[in-house]
Amino acid sequence: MKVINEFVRYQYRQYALSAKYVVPLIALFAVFGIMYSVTPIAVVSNFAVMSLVLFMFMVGIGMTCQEIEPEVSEQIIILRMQSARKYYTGQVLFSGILSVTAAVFTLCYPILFHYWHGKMLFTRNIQASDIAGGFLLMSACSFVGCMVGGIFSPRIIRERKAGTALTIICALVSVVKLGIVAEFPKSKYILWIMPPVSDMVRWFMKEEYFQMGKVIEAFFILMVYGSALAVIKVELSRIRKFN
Amino acid sequence: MIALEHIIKEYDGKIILNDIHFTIEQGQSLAFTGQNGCGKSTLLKIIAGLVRPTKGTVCIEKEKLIHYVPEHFPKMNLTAKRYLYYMSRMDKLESAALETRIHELAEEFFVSNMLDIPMKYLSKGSLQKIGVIQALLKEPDILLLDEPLSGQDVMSQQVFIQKIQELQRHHATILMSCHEPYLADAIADDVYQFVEGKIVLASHQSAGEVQWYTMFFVRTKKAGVPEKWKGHLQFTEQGCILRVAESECDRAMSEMSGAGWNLRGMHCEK
Repeated sequence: MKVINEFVRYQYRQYALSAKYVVPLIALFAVFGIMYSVTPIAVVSNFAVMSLVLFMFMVGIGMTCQEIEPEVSEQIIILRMQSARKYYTGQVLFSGILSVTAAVFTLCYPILFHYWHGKMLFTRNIQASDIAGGFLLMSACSFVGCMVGGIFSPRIIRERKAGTALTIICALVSVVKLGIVAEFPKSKYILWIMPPVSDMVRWFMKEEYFQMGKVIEAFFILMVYGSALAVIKVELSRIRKFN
Repeated sequence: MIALEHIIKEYDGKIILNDIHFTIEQGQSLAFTGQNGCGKSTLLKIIAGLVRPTKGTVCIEKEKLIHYVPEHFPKMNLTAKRYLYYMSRMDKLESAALETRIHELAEEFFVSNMLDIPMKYLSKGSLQKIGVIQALLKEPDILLLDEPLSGQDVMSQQVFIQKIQELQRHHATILMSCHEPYLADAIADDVYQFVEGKIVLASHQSAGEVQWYTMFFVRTKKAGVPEKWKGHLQFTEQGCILRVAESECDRAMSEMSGAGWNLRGMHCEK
């Protein structure tokens, strides 16, 4: 575990210096600017929509995370760690840390904004259940996004352009799949495989308060999906090697 | 022990490695030579488990620490010091020991003044030295060297040879792909040549030959050149290199020292 811990620290330092997160971060700020320019807004539905935004943002971050380590350096570290599985598990852990950090940031921004501007942003006061519910929903969507961004990495799909195209298609379809299913009902037999982010977020769109039972169920479903993607990514990367 | 059993590797239908079958004992040093693209690097990566052979298996006694020096060490945003720090942490070196180890090796490879520079600004030769240093932070059981000297200066090449010979004394297995005959002579017990996907034993070290030593001297302010060694010295930026037979080592050391040269290191050419 100590070796994985050191590897995660190394990844963090590499990523921080790479500045590859700058473009997705600018896009996120742009969304903040648009979302919070009109007030007042409902707390729960806003946090639900921001979970979807965060999902898309983290898809971008997940993609950039795959580009920070040169292949040769990856080989050196895998040999040093004496296990490819440890290496890729370390990558997943790093993605998890990024996901939680992004969720905290996305949650804190509107709350601070609300109190900074004399409680004008939201239609009502923020409660502890809003913070807990918002955090769980955003963290889970964020984690799934980061995993989707990494699943078609160059280690798994050699053709970089194809990998990028597949990732973008997968992310977009995940967000709009309810609309697709409404239009073409039979598509649900295929689209169930897509990340269930919009399905989960829909549960909260018309709620005034978070119901913790629903939040925990959504969190559980999203985390199971994200973890399944993580296991697939680790095993595929390990099996494919550097052929 | 490493056992390669009937290894075949194909790329796009072309056979690169054709039924490679041999065993490598712990502590053995092998060099692989051959044209570019003949499969030397691929064989090293197959042994390391980084590349899957099309057919055949590689059996390595479990839990061997393998370190790898690539042909081209990549440019990165991290400083060399920070990179080496993380690598030694992953090698489970203690905090107190790792700083000393990094500085020792950096000093020996003449990159002390480059440790705080981001690696993306380092020259090819300096990057290659960082690639070598990372592999020497902790003694590996198996060391894979993929054309390790590319871009390195003469003095660093000699230090490198010296370091590898030190590892050999500690029974590390050394597997190397290289083009330089002197490197293969200095390090390898056996040299294998790649011929149409097969490997053929090209040379084998034998006993009873004269032992030659290469010495590295750093000049002091008042350094002169002893008469006996004029014409034998190869001058470099930092000092000079002298190649002598074993029987003349003591004399060379004493006379060079008397003439104002400090011995920086020496290694035995097998």
